[in-house]
Parts: sequence; C-alpha cells; structure tokens
Amino acid sequence: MIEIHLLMLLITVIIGLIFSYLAIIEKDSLKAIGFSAVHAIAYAIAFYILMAPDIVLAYVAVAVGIYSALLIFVVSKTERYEVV
Amino acid sequence: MSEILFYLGAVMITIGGICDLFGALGLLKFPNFYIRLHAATVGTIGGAVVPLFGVGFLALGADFLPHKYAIAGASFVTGIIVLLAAPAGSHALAYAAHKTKIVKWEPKCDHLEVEE
Amino acid sequence: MKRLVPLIILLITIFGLAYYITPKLPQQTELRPLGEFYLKNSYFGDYSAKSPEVVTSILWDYRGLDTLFETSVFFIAIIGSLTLFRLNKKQEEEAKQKAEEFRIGLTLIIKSVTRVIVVMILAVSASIALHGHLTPGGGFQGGSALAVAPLLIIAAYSKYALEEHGLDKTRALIFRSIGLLGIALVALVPLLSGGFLMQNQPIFPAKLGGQLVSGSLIYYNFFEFLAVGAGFTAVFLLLAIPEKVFKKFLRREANE
Repeated sequence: MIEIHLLMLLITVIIGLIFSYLAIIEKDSLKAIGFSAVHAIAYAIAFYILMAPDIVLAYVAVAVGIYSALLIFVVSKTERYEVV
Repeated sequence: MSEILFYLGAVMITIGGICDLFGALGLLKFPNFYIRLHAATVGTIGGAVVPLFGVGFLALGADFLPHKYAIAGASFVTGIIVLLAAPAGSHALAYAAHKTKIVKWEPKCDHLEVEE
Repeated sequence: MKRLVPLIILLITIFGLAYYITPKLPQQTELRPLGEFYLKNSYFGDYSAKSPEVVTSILWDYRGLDTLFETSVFFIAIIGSLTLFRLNKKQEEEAKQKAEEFRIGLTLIIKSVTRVIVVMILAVSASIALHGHLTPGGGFQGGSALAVAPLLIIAAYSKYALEEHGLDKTRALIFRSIGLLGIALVALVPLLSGGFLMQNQPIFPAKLGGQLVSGSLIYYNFFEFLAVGAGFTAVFLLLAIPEKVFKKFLRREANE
C-alpha cells in the first residue's frame, strides 16, 4: 500500500517540477501565472499524500487563489509580455 | 440493491473515462478557441462530475467500507460544486474572449455581436 | 526543443539522486521524544492543551510565541502594501466614484453562480477556522479561504459593489485591527491571574456550555481568522482601483 502512495507522490512532485520550470522560462506573464497555479495544485496533492492537511488548506487558498489573483492584478497594472 | 448501485457507479465512472478521452482529443484537434472550450467543458462535466457521482453510488453500495456515508456525501457535494462552478467558469472565459475580440473565427451568425 | 534540455537534465539528476542516495539514508522507525510528548499531552496528560488536534495545539499553545511573531510579520507585510497605495481622504472618496466608461460586471449567469459560491465559501471558511481545535485547519487557513470570497465578488461584480454594500478599505482595516487587538488581549489575559504569557490551561475553561473549546485556542483561531481575511480584503480593494485613477492623482500632484 505504501508503494502506491510513494508512486503517486513521485508523479505529483514531478508534475509540479515540470510546471514550475515552464513558469520560469515562459515570457508571457499570464501563461506563467497559469503554470504556477498548476504547480500549486500538484504540490497540494503532494502535501495531502504526505499527511499534512493543515498545509493543504492554507496552500490551496493562498497559492491557487490569492497569489494568482495578486499577480494578475499586478500584470494588469504593468505589462503582459516580458522583454529581455 | 447494492449490486445495482455498484453497476450504476461503475458505468458512470467508465462514462467519465470516455468523456475525458474525448475532451483531450477535442482540445488537440478542434480549430478555434470556442470549440476547444466546448471540449474542455466535456472534460469537466462528463469527466469530473459524472465519475464523482459514480464514486458516490459505488461507496453507498459497498457494505464493507467503514465510512461509506462520509465518502458518498463528500463526493456528491464535490460533484454539485463542480457542476455549479465549471459551466460558469467556461461561460466567463467565452464571454471575456468575445468581449476583447482576440479569437479569429468566421461565424455564420453572431447573436451577441448583433445585440450590442 | 532547446528549451526542454535543462528540464531533462534536471529530471535525470533528481532520479539519479533519488536512486543512489535514498537507500543510504537512515530509516526513522520510532517517534522522537518531543513528538511523543506532544502526541501524548495534547488532549490527555498533565501539560494538556485540551485539544484533540495536535497541530493547532502546538501552533497556538506549546509554540504560541512563534505564531505570534509570524502573525506580526504577516501584518508588517500588509502594512507595507497599504503604505505603497496610500491616498488622502479626498482621493479616497474620488477612487470610490465609478469611472465614466464603467460597464456593469459580467453576465447574469456568472453573477448568480458567484452569489451561491460566495455563501458556500463563507460557511466553509468559518467552519475551518472555528473547528480549528477539532479538525485540521485553523485561523490562518480559514482566513485565507475567507479572502477568496471578496476576490470572487471583485471579479464577477466589481469593487464598487463591495463598497456600496459597506465593505470599504477603512472597514476592512478596522476588522483587521480588532483581530490583532483580540490576539494581543488573549495573549495578555493569563498574566492577570498569575500565569505565563500565552498560557492556555488551566486559566481558560476547556468547555463552554458542554462544548469543547480547548481553552484559548478557539479565541486565537477566531481573531486570526478575522484579521487575515480582513487584511487580504483591504489589499485587494486597494489593488482593484484602476491604474488610470492612480495616474490621474499622480499627474495632479505633479502639477501642484
């Protein structure tokens, strides 16, 4: 039984890693915010498998809802595309 | 009774899997944003709400589960919330995309455009 | 394709590390003495917090001062963002006026679904916060869930709808201050009856009217819930002021 949980943990953490990488290299800020929200969902599932429901409750609300919304407000006040 | 619930739940979960497959295919193949949004909604309603109700029926029918009413209630409530929120979300996306005119498409008739 | 090369290198490194290092790490087979103490004493025992939820009893009782300073750090961050967006009285009144080309929110479908979901969010966040001493959850979790409700209203209706119904920035700041003051007072009450700062048992009653309230934990959770939710709401209300309005204020100040 523990092997299934460890496998689920591995998959969710790798999904989170891939999406955080995509969020870092993305030039379009709105898309990057979307990637960061997906990363937050994957990590919330990982925290749930690691038996930390307190962290999950705070993490989902802050990282998916509030953090994304704050960044969208900031993007709407500045520029959408990142110019290097 | 429990056998009926078991088969009902299993059929609903299978329908959910098929809907998810079709939604993913549609997201890849459909031509423009609005039709892709339709495929995404097939993925959320058919692929998330229906299997959630299926899990609820399956848990109600399983006599060996210790917390069967808790599992069934949680999945029904989650299903109802997704059923409320997902169509409203895709409607908001389509409305905003139409308002900002960023989608390239050739409609036969556009009632929302005519109204304004 | 070139962009994926670093990702593949990263994944290979992580798999290699997991494969070679994980078997060599020592396995933890028993509880550490400190953890065992918390598990044994959080509800039963001599140094009890009378709370079946161990995490909350550690957060607000055994390690209460840590959480107090954590809360103060969070509020310093909120004060910083309020300072960035500060406006004087006249400008605040002007920011409440709707712009000329203001369109009324989104469609009826979204508005009615939002109305239902906001009520659900309020109920769920209150239950997370007020059951914090019984089930996983607590003040911060409940407060951050509460802050999603005004966010949804701002997105579906507008910030003016919130202000017309009486929840403007000043009210949100007042609620936040009530929450902070409550936390400070509950922390100071044990000193009056000869206890330590932030002591829980046996100064606060563990049961009120037959219900388990776990001494001071429910008060801390409630005030933290109020303070976090209202603090986030104040920041959202300030951020939702359109950029045009701020530009207008800045131009006027530059002219004067």
